[in-house]
Amino acid sequence: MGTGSKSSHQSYAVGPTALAESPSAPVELAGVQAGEEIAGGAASGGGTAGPGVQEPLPDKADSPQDTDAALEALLQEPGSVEELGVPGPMSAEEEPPTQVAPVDEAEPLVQEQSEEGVSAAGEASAVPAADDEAKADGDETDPPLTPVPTAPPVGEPTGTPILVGGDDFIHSEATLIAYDSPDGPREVLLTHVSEEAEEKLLDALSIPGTHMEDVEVEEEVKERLDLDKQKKLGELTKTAVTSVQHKLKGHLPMSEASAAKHQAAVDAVSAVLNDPGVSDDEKAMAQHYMDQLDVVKDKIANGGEPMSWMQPYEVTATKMVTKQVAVPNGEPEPGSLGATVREASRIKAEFDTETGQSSWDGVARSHANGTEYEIDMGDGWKAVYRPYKENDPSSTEYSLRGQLEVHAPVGAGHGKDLVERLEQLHLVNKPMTAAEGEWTYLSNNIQAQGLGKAAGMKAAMDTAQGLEDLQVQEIVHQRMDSLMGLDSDDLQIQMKRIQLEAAQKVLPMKVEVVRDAVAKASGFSGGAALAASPGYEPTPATSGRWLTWSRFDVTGKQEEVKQAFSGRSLTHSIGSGDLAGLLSTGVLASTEKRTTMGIGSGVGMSEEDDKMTGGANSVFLRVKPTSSDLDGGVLVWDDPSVLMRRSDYYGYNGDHYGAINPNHHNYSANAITRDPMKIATFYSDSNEVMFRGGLDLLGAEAPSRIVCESAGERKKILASFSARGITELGGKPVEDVLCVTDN
Amino acid sequence: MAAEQQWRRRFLDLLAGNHSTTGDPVDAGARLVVCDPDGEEVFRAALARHSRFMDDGQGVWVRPLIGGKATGDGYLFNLGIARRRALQWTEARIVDGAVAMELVTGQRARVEPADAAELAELNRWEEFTDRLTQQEELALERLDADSWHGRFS
Repeated sequence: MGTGSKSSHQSYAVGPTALAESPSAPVELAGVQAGEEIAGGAASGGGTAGPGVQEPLPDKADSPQDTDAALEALLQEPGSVEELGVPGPMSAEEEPPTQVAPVDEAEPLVQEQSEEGVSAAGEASAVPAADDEAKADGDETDPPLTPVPTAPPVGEPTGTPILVGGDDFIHSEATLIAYDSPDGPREVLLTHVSEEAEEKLLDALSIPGTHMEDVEVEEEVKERLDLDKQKKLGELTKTAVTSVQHKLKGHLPMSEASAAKHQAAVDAVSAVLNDPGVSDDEKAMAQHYMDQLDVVKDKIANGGEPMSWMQPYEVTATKMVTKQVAVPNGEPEPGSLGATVREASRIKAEFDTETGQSSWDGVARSHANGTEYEIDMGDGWKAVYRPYKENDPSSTEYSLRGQLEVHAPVGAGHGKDLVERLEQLHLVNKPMTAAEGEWTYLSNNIQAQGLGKAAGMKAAMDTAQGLEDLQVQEIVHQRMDSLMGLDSDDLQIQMKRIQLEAAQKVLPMKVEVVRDAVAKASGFSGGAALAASPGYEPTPATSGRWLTWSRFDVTGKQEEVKQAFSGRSLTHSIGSGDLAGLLSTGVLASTEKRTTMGIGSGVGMSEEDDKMTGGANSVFLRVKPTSSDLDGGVLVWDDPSVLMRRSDYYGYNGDHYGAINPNHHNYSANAITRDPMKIATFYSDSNEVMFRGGLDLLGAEAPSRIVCESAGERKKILASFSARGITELGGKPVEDVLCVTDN
Repeated sequence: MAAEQQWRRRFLDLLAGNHSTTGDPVDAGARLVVCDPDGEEVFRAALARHSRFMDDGQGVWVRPLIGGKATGDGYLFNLGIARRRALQWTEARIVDGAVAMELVTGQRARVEPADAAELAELNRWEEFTDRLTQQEELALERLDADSWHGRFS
């Protein structure tokens, strides 16, 4: 570990901790020697058994004899190690467990061993060190696919995307953001834990439960006067305003009803004004409404432009307010991280449209519909996790399930520690390597292309799992002498290590087996032919602000996809929205991304919200004829193959609110598709194509046309581009990309 | 054809509040209720007064009023949440003064007079829109935006 603070927190073997009979407290890897501390978490085990289908380990051995029996059992039962690590490679986000295709049960990637190999917790170990030969030798030769910055750029709203090894995280993605704040940068790691990895994370926590206590706090509140509420002056005035405003906005004649509403309000307000018994404050209140009613009277008589918004009369008062706060019922269990349960929330950042910077004070949060854990990681570090198991997808925000924030103490330079600290949560804490990347690439392609049920795929997964099981048995045989006599806890620790070693050793073979199956399922003669094909790109595209994985059925057939979309474009309209402001951020970001960037008020919530359907994690585009007349504020991709190469989209030929939550009534397993050829045929005006995270508007995914509302808006955007040195988008001069409605 | 014209007319009247019994359309409005094929109600919300029928003649854009919230600055809507939605029907007709639609999704929708909670929400929406500029209001009425980038998002 590289936290530099071994005494401050426990260090655990991460990864395959999902033992069938996992201990109540996390397993402690005390005294692990340099180079041995396993950083992986994705050693397989799910295999063909699939997530949640785990065979139990032999019962905890209480004596060496029991341990021996357990070892024997392991050796005699191929596959019995499957319980050691379970997550499948697919996102748990999209499919209900019962609908998970066999491919979704495929194994995750194997993890590299710790590069630093610092002794965990700095404690002596009774566990014999594993053989040096068991160390991964690929660390030096297989560098990370994405470098982890020591200090993410401060204020950069989209942060720095990175890939983390294994599949503890959806699409293996995480983002490092450094929010600007008066106290210094606030560095945060944001990611989305996969549902299969949740058990490991929860295993790291101690949640003693909470009870609510009343706390008196002083609060400034704005409120209406009692007399106002009693006489309903605000309501009567508002009724008159609304009625008259309706006529003004609709260019309709004033009605008797409007006049009557106005008169009723005037009568009530006059009565207060003429009452000698009212206070000065109450008189001021009544006069406030009478002034508004005078404006209304003028509009009734003379018409004209709609009225400005009229505020109710409110006074600010300081009050003692009783609030309930959650208080832990006790101390966390030793060796675990204490966590408290609270209502879900999101970071409430601020985006400065002038500077293009995001800031956050480290405190402000907006309310969300669900439950989260606040986790004390020690030394001023903390995490916030919104668990799947506490957030019923039928009644809470689907898009927040699995979201994890890791917060460093204020100040710069925690980028690498933010990743490494994931180990405290029993999660993979190493950047993804190229070998792991190919596994992720294949997994994404299996899902995107719907190959999970293709002939040979299940057999390939079985074979891949079998390879690993054999490797485990081989290592166990080799180390039988050192394993004999260990107590049950140490045996479990060693078995986890062995599992990881085995997984890592066989990863290239497993990739080969699955690549071959994927190849045959998609019409290639074999894995070698697929790997040699021009569209095979097992590394993510890094187009500045996003990391995206491609799908070879598109990248290898770009012309066919282009042809399928002939005469059709993908579009996104922001109407009369702030196009210049949008382009200043450089991204068309999903609702969830926008929140972390500090864009949006965060006000409001609804069961129909995209946060409930799961669509909030994506941006929505629509397929339209290229010849469509477009108003201003539209982004157009005339060559949709630019985006169709991604492996993370899905679509509906109709308005399903971007539903990917199988529990939401707008979700339709029959209607959803990831097939670009089907998407190319979408004809409904309300069709929708969702891209996870968002689109990089200035990079490789740039639109081919940006339709402005006016020449003035176009000029403003061109000036902004010029100031930022942006002369081309997608290889086209910006002057050709930016057009106006009249064009 | 006459039947279609009739239900379309009724649909627009409901949104406009022309069924008001007070003589003032702002005292009335419409709500949308959607039920699953098994009859379970899955959605209910007031509708803003604007709508736009699609060119293909089989769909209409509406704006369900969802996501409103009382704040320290009054009752606000998040225009990123209260975005346009499509109703696409295979069949539509007038039933008991409401417009009943068989949707392409297999669900059933009713556009009917709003009352109680939905009417109150419509009133709050109309007050909220007084905060908007004319340009912003027109943008909402066009029902052409896929996302809202500006104030109140």
